[in-house]
Amino acid sequence: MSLWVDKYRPNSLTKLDYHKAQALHLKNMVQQGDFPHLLVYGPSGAGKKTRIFCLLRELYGPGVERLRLEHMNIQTPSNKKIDITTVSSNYHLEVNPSDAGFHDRVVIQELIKTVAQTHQLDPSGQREFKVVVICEADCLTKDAQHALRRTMEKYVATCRIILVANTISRVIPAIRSRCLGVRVGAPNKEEIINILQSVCRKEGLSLPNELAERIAVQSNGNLRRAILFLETCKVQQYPFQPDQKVASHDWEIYLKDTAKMIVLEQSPQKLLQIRSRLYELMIHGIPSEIIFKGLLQELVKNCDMQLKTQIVEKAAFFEHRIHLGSKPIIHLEAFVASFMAIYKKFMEATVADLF
Amino acid sequence: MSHDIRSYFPPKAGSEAKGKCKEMKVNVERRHRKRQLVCIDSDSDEDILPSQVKKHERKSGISVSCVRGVTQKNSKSISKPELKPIDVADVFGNSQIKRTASKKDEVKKVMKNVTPQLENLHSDSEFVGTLQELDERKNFCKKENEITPVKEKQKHALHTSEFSKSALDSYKIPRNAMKETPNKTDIKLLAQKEESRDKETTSLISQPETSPDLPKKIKGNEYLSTENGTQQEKAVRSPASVKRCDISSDEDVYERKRQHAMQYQRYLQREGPKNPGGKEVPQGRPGCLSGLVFVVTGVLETIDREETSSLIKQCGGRVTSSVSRNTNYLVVGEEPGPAKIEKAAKLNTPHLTEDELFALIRARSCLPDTERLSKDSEEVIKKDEKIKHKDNLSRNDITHGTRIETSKSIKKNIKKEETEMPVLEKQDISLSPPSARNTTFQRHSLWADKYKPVSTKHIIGQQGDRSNVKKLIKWLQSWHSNHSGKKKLVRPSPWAKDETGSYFKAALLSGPPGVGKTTTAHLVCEELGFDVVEFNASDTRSKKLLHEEVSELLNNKSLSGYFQGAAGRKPTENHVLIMDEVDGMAGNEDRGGMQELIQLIKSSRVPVICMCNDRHHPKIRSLTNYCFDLQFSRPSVKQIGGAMMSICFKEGIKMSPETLNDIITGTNHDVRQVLHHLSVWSVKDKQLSFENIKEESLKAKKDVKLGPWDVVKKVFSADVHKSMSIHDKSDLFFHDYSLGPLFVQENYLGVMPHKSRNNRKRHLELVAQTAESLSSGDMVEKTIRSKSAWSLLPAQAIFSSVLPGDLLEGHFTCQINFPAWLGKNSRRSKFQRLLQELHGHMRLNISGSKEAVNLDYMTHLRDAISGPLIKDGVDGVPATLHVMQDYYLLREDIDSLMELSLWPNQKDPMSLVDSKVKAALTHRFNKGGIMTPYSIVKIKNSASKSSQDLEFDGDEQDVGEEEEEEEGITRDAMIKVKKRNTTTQNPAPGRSGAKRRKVDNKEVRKKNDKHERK
Repeated sequence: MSLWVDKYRPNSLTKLDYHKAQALHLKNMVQQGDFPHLLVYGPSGAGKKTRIFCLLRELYGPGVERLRLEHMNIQTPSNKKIDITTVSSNYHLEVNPSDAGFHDRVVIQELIKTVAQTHQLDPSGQREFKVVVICEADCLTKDAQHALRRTMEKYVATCRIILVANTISRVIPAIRSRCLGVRVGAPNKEEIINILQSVCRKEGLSLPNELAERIAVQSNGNLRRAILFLETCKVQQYPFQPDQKVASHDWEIYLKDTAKMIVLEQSPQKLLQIRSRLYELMIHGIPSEIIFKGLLQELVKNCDMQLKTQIVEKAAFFEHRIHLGSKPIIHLEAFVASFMAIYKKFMEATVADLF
Repeated sequence: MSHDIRSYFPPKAGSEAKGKCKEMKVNVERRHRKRQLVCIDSDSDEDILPSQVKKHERKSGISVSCVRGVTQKNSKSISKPELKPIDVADVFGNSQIKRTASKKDEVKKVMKNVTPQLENLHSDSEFVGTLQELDERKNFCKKENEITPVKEKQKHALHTSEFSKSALDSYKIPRNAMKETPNKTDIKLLAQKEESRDKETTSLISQPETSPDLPKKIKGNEYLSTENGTQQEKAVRSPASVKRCDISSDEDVYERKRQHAMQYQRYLQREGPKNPGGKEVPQGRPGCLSGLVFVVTGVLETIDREETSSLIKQCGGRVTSSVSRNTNYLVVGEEPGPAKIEKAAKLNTPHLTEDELFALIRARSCLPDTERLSKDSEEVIKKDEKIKHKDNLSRNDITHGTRIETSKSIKKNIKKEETEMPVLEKQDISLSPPSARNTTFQRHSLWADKYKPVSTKHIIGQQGDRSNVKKLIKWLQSWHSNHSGKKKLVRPSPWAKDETGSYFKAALLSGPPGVGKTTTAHLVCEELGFDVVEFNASDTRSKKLLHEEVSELLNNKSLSGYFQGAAGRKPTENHVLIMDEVDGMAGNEDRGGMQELIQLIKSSRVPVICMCNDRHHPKIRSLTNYCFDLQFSRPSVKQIGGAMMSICFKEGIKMSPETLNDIITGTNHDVRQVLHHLSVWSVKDKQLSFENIKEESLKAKKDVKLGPWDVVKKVFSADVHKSMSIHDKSDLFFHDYSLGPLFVQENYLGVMPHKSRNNRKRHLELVAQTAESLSSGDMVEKTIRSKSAWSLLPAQAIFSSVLPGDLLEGHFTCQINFPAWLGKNSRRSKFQRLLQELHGHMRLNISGSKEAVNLDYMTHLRDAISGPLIKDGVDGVPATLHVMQDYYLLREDIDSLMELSLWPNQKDPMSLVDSKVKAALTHRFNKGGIMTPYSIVKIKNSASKSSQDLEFDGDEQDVGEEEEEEEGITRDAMIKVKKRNTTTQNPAPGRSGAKRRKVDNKEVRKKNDKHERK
């Protein structure tokens, strides 16, 4: 009894629901028998992995569905042992080097190189090359990306690499130029609604359009999220009501509450409380970018235009610093502190104007 | 009879009778007259030899050591005092300072004995001045190298056995006048003494106590032996009691009552004796105090109360706790109990001081006042000339038999003063090897060795009743009775205060360097008669070595027990293993040493004493479970100061107490360090000017590493900033540059900046600026760490410490916290690890990344798993199992899923699930098994095992075994899983998922049926 999101995942390029032109394009490319390295990028929940899986199936046939998990042990030059889990079929290998933290370079060098160096056992079977799927390519360190460069060129005869990334801004240009970029954009509202409706049809349920639309809006272009919301709604209440409440994620609520607290009171003591809440968010593994975004969106709602520019500027400044620094909490806190200072000043000025 | 004989043999060449000689003679005369006669025969025989030696010395002027060598060769019987190399030293004039110091001290002692009450009257400078004068005078005398008529008289007096009291007095005055400069106080003393003597004609016992004069004392003692006891007692009693009564009547009763509470506090805090071992405690004849009842109050000067009462009991007296009619004496020390004094005054109970008590014991057991004797003899020795020596030698030979006894008693005195009196030390050479060793030390050794405490009583800050030393002694004493296997010992709770440590086979002394841990351990062992086997950081202490060498050694039996035939002591009893500096057991050399040490302690048959600096070190922590924990703290400035002042005095360094205190605080209460500093200065200059001292004491400031708490306090404190340059401020950062910024970041919000003056807007602005600066600091830190750009540290210092401090300088309004970041970060990485594991398991069925699992799946998955259980109870179990099967989740994954998806102020959904249902789920899961496409068994086991090894490294084995058992159970379950996996021919999960599900369903159904039938 999988969740719907996994149950109704399309498994061939033709069955894809949106970006159909692109799907066709890919299909044509595969049918020629060869394709360059790919860099698939797009926001989370847009269907990148799904698309890649469909592509692989198109390429190798149903054999790619025979997946297995493998644990690999790699030793770093400093004698540290790294465990890496890979998902592989006979034709492809999927790996997430950033699981190894900043030792990802070793993973690239050892693992991918060995795979790339070996030829397919029976070339008569399907293709002459294997495919290596590297997840979260934008999280690779610069070292790892540089290590990848040469491998990509040298073993192009035996191996194709598909990089999956949320954004290409963190992928070095050298890699970008070696790949064919495939952007998988998030589905728009109508597309999401259609998909939700089709899921409900397959489940034998009837979904009011209003609810579907609300879910689509709340999912913010993330199809995975939308389908998960739908299922939650079903668990909560069926038959659906058009005005049914769509429960958002716990972390979103928590983040919003935090933002509200900031607007409510500005003082060092409050900042201390905010800090502990921010810590809580970080502990739960919410990426700092998302925290930043969530905070900013909530905070600017209470500001006039002039203040907005100031605050957005501050946010951009500290968000950039998160990537330069090592402890995100410091920068988040600095942002909150500057917001508090600006906001307090603004409020006092307006209060003074009033009287 | 003997007197007659002696008068036939007048001393040779006008030689003076030496103190030693005199004292010997007196002893002999008093005790065994016959024996003395025999001795005198030998006198004439050996007479020549010593004189030759003396000649030698005079002619060639060979060094002291040479002379010493000769004398040593000669025989034991050649007594030491005569060999005083002081004369030689005098010739060279090198050791002048030392000699004067010793002299001073000696004189001081004498004076102390004379008038304990009056001592307080002397102001320090006056006193020292007098002493100096004395020294000069003495030196002068020595150089003159001639016999004064007075001395001749003195000598003469010795040989006549009877002399009238008036003769004594008349004799005493000129001697005093010669010896001590006409000082006001001295004269006063003398006058007083004489007065008292005149008053009480029979008070012969008090005379030896009050007069520093040798002949008179001898006389007194002689008298004593013939005198009858009751008379003496009266004599003692009368003057003292009169005085005390006056004092107590003067005191205002009300005021005392008011101070009562305060006094009680003081009583609780009071220390041990001030000058332990400072005087010789008389070994009274048993029964000499029989019938007398004593009450002890206050702290005596040289012995503590227990010792006092045991001394009295030894002598047959009784000690009671409160004053009653039956009480004969009240022994009064410092800070006496006012109630006792009062009551004693009411009942007219006489008071005794410590000295008076000793005197009483001596008197009643007919002992000579050896202390006085020896001291006086020393004085005379020093003053008198070489001819005297010769004569003395011969005499000493004569009285050899009795001499040893007295010299032993002298030795005790010397022990205390040995460092300051090289002369006397040489006396010991022939008698006791240990002190000989000390002598060789003394010239060239560090002060830290030179002034090493020689008994446990001298250890600074360890004199109290509950001190670590006392605890250690008790522990060591009772070790063998505790661990003989007969007693059943209970492990004390780690929080309860453990006074005896009887459970433990080892003791762990921990504390900062230079407070005397090693010294304590060695001295305690020495005093209790244990042989010490020591391993310290200079020895390799690997597991192998410890196992081979030490364990062998601990099973050895010391043969000394057999040789000495020590009664009642098991041969193995008397050694102790000392593991010094156990925190230094590190690196490849000593690998596994700590483990082995713990094993060793467990099986040890001898006490083990371990020492370390930091007992909270992770390595030591495992050891502390097996050790009686004794923590040494730094002694207070006062405690160190007292001891250091006396050393300064001995070494002739002039230093004000304030400066000394500066040094002590500067060195962070490290006694050894203080000694080093003093010794360096003593080489440079004996008398430092005030400026010099100031300057030097600044230098003495040990670079004390501040703890991060202190650092952060200083960073934000406005007061401290006034006297700091920017360099000082950035230095604060460098105390701990990894932890410091975290502390600043954690605590900057608790500071109330003085700049803002309660303006909240301004305050917030400052906070914002600070936060921004901290964020810059973090950037710099990242650069430093990732690019090894350590030269950027000063920049980080500015951003992370100096700027925040400047912006927010003020005061803390709340307590300083430990950085939460560390804890939060480790929790974060734990969550990440769980998440990664979860993602790894789910990976085949989902397309999302780890992040997506966290952000999107988490809540829904949790609901999908816990929902059926909450709603349907046991019936919901299959539904839950299906979800788990689809996502290849294990039972443990549910727990981590719950943990990951739980937010503050939320309820754990699993807590809503009935525990029965949970048990059913677990049971069903283990029975039915879930086929996973990944191999759990190997990875899990190896991972948990390795973590176990790390975690339980050095911990109890029991825990480890338990864990292993548990693991065994799960392993069984896993094996089943594996079997099923293989039976299904390892199909691709994607394709055969449905098939397998069917199988599972069947099984579940079967089980359900079974369940229902039951």
